[in-house]
Amino acid sequence: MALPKEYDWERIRLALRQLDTDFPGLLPSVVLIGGGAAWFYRETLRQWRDADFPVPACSQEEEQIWLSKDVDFMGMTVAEAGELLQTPWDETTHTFHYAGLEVDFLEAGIVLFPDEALRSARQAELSDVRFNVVEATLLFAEKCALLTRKSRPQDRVHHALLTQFLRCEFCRQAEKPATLRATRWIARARDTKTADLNFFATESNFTRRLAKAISALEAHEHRALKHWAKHHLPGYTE
Amino acid sequence: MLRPGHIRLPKDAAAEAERDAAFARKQAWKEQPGNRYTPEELRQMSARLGHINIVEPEPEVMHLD
Repeated sequence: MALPKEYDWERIRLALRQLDTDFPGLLPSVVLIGGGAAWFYRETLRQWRDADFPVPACSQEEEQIWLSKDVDFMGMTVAEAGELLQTPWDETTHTFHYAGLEVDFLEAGIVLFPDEALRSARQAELSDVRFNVVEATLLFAEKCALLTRKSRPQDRVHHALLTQFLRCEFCRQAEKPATLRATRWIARARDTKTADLNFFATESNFTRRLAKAISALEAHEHRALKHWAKHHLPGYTE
Repeated sequence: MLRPGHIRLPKDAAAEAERDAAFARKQAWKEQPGNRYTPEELRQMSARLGHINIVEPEPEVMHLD
């Protein structure tokens, strides 16, 4: 079943607001995952306008497969969502049809599971709606796993975007000591390296900028980051 | 009730096959004409999005006093 042509961001925004109005407490209990979450990270990266880490260029063919029109959440079973939304589950589309939105509730990914997704979720703030978005490192790990086990073209472009987003964010956070949370930063770096052993070793501009930022840290609470860099960041010296 | 992460979905062959089939069905749906955003639609969505801020949860502080 093809969706109506006018399906666009305004419609998604309206549907999310309607979900929030009709079912207060639903959006805080579920996490946006999949391509939709990757797209919000893409837009965040675009708005950062970081010269070293632009949104990865896509060919026309890649742009055609970047984002499908279903919206995937995690944090609720299909049965629970069906009871709440009072709308039948469509096996063909693997979604609920709600307010013009195709909504799916996934119980498990390959390495992504609801409890961790909910525990570590970030919050996307737009002018008129807030919702949870899966932590970027978890989505990156899931995309890494999907690339090894499935052959979906969209996973390649999402993986490239999340790689760039995480590189940019690791640098930006390390460059702002006033707001840097060392424990969280290191946990994310560890999760990222677990998903991709060479993440911190393959792009010299990234490793140089990150090494420079970590080297400049002076606060006692940031010593753990320097220790991490000694062991995991090629070329790092104090 | 939400399944905790350490309790995995059933691993038997039938359940795996069912999940694989659903995965393939979902992907087939995505690939149907009109079910993905066109480059122009993506560009327009990006232009209309407005400022987005993805924030991290604040750490919970345990007060002992």
